Amino acid sequence: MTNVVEVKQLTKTYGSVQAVKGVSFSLEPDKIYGLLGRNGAGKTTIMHMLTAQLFATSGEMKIFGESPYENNNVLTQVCFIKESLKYPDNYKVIDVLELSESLFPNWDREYAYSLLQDFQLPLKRRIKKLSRGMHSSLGIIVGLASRAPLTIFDEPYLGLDAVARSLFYDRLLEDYSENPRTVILSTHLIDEVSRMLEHVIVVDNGSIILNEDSEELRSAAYSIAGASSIVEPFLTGKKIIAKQPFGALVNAAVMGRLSAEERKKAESLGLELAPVSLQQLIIHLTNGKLDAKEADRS
Amino acid sequence: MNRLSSVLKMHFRDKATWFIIPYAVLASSFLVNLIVGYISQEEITTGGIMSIYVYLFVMGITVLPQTFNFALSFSVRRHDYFTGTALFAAANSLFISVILLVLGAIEKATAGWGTHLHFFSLPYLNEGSIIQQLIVYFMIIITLFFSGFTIGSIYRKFKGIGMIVMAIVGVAISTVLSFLMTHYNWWKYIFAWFSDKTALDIALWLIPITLIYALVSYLLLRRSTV
Repeated sequence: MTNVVEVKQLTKTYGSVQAVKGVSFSLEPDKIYGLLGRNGAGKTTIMHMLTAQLFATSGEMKIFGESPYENNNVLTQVCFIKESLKYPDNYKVIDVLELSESLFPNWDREYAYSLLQDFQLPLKRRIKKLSRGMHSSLGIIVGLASRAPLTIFDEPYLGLDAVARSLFYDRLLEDYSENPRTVILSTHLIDEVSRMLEHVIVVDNGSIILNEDSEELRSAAYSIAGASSIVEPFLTGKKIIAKQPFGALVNAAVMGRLSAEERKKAESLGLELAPVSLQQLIIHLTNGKLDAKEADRS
Repeated sequence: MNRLSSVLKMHFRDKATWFIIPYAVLASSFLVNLIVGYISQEEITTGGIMSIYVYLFVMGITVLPQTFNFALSFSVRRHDYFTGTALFAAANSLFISVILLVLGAIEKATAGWGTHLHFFSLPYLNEGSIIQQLIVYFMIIITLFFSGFTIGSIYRKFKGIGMIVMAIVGVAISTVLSFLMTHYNWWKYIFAWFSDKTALDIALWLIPITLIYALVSYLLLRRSTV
């Protein structure tokens, strides 16, 4: 099967500022992708270009095998929910749902209304009068019920409490297993979504610094804790991405895999081994990148 | 075709903007004139109908910030957005024209609402057959809408800088033109040209102007981003 998204050397410059610097990646069908990175890293710009809402300065881009610009073959298959979504001033919740029904070919009306109940959204209320969290819920409902073959959520939960967020994750996973599609979830709440993501792309400063299967990623590093006198010799020759001393103890995150032998040795030495959480790993990786840059400069 | 009907639907659902406020504006202007007419008991010819024209000009400007980003975010093509919006605006202009025509007929039949008020039915503008009057109304309304829409499109494409440049260029051109016209004494030809034209003639001249507005705004929107 062909890739849903194929991007080559995508670049966006604003004057002298390069917001996106020659990014290349591809997305396979029916997977949940995490597009992660700090605020201002270029995530939203990339997604705007994928949906032809912004124009790339240079680079190639194919969505469902075609260019997305002014292309209904592509656009009817895409639903892009962003945090800053603005609705017409006089619109009510029902207006958005009715319009979505006519715009998204796979729209499931019944499902939309059941989500409306789940998120306790008043159908007749004007959108201007919705709270920030309700506003976000509306976007989530549209994104889920659109069942678009490529559904993109860009920080969809501003103002949503933890209960509503986990409701979103549950509904997304449920519906995804029944109606597989390609989902891009862009967020900085990495730990919350890490269990859903099948593949992770990390953007930093306009470039992709990590593009990895999440299973691979989780096993790509481990953390080790114990008395520093024991840990330090164990660490020699290993790629340490972070080290935090607590008095006589030390907690280190290490890139790479442990062999069974090393694992046994560590256990016999009384060291504690644990997986590194995705969030930790990404923070380590992005910090490492930033540190390297600082070093370059000086 | 399906996307086009969605854009029509998008505008249709904004009932307040298209179907309530313009008539509320017109009604309030009419009411004030009617009250003045009753009190003064004189024959009054008023330009109060301008209120709805001005509203449509403003609407041409505001429809873009209200719906363009929204439509693009909901996977609508720029082409469909433009075509749908232009169609809806045309249908709306026709609808308003018919209403104005009917109110004008009532005004004539009731001798100016019983108080000799000339609000909807005006000298010069309301001459000729019903079809001719309809064309005059329609062209005034749609030209104003598209001139606003063009301003909105320039803002969409070029943002604040575009507005400043447009204002400077506009002022510069009109200054130079009016200087030339005064210098070479062209004003009298212009007035002479207008003076022997009927309202219908001028309305027909508005057709190419509106088409230019539409083309310019289409080209600008095709290159506009959110």
